[in-house]
Amino acid sequence: MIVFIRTIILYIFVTLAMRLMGKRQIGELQPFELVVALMLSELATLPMQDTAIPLIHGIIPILTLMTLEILISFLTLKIEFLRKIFCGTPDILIKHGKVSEEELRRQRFNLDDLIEELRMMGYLDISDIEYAILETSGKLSIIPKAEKSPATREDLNLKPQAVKLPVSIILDGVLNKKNLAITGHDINWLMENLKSKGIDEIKDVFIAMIDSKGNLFIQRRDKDEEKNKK
Amino acid sequence: MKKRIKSNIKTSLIILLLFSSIVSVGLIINIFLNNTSYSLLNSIYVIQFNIEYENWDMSYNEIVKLKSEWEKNKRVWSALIHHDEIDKISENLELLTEYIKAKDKTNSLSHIAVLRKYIEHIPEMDRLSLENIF
Repeated sequence: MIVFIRTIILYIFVTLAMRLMGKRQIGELQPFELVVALMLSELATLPMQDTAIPLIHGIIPILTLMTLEILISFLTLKIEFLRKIFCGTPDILIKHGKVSEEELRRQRFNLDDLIEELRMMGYLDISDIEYAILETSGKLSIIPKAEKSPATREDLNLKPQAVKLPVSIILDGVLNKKNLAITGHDINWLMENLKSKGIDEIKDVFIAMIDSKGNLFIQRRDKDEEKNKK
Repeated sequence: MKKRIKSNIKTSLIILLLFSSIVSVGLIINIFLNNTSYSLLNSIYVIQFNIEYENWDMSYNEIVKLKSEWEKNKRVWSALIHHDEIDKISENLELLTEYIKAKDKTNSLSHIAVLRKYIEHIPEMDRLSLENIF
C-alpha cells in the first residue's frame, strides 16, 4: 500500500517536473537535457521501491535537477558562449559531395553509420549530397545538390492555394462552439450543411471540420454506433 | 521588447525562487535535526552519568523520558532520514532499557555509547562539509 501511494506521488511529481522542463521530445534532447531525463527516472524509482528511503530524498534531487535544467536552458538561450559549451555546435560531415575525414574522426562517426543514415533518408549516393550536417541533438540533416533536390511548386510554375488551419467543429457528436465561432460561421449555417447531407442532429455526426482548403468535411456516425448512442 | 524583458525577469525570478526554496528547506532540515539530536544527547549524558554511579532508578526514569521524546521525534525524522538509522536507534534504546532494568552496568554503558554515536551521526550526516560532499 505504501509503495502504491509513493508511486502515485512520485509519478505526479516527475510528470510535473518533465512538463515544466519543456516540450522537447526524447530524440531531440540536448546533451544536458538527456542527462537530466536519465537521472530523473533513476531518482524517482529508488524511493518508489525502497520504503526505507524518505520521499524527500527523491523529491529534493528531482527539484534541484529541474531547476538546473530550467537555469541552463535559460542561460543557453541568452548566452551564445554557454550554448556552445552545453549544446555543442553542428558539424559538417559532407561538404559539396565530399566526406570530411577529419570531422568523421573527431565525432567518432564511422562511414558505415554515415552511409546507413543517408540510405534511411533516401539518398543512395554521397555525390548527390551538398551538405550533411550532424546536429547538436545527434540527428543528421541532409541538403541535397540542387539538381537532386525534389522539384517545388515554384520550379513547376504552379500557383499554390493558400493553406488554412483545419478547424474541427464536431467531434464524436459534440459541437465545439468556440471553434465554430473561429471559422466565422454560425449554427444555422452548420445545420443547413448537415441537412444537405441528410443529417438532422449534431449527435449523428462523427466528425465535421473545415479542412485546409476551407471546405466543410462531414462524416456521419456508423448506423450501429448511432443506435447505441440513442 | 518590453514583453521579452518581462518574460526574462519572470524566468529569473522562478529560478531564484526554486533555488532559494530548495536551500531553505535544506537549512531548516539541518537546524531541526541539530536541535532535536542535541536535546536527545543531553538526556543520554544524564543517563550515562547515572549508570556510572549506579543510580538505577534515576537511569530508568530518564530512559522512559528519553523514549517518549524519541517517539515524538521519530515521526518527523522518518520523513527526513533513512529509516535504517531510525531502526538502529530504536533497537538500541530498547536494549538499553532492558539492561538498565537488569542493572547490568557493563552492557548499559556499552549500549549507551553506541546510542550516543548513532544520534551524533544524524546531524553530522547532513552537515555541510567537504567530507560529506565527497
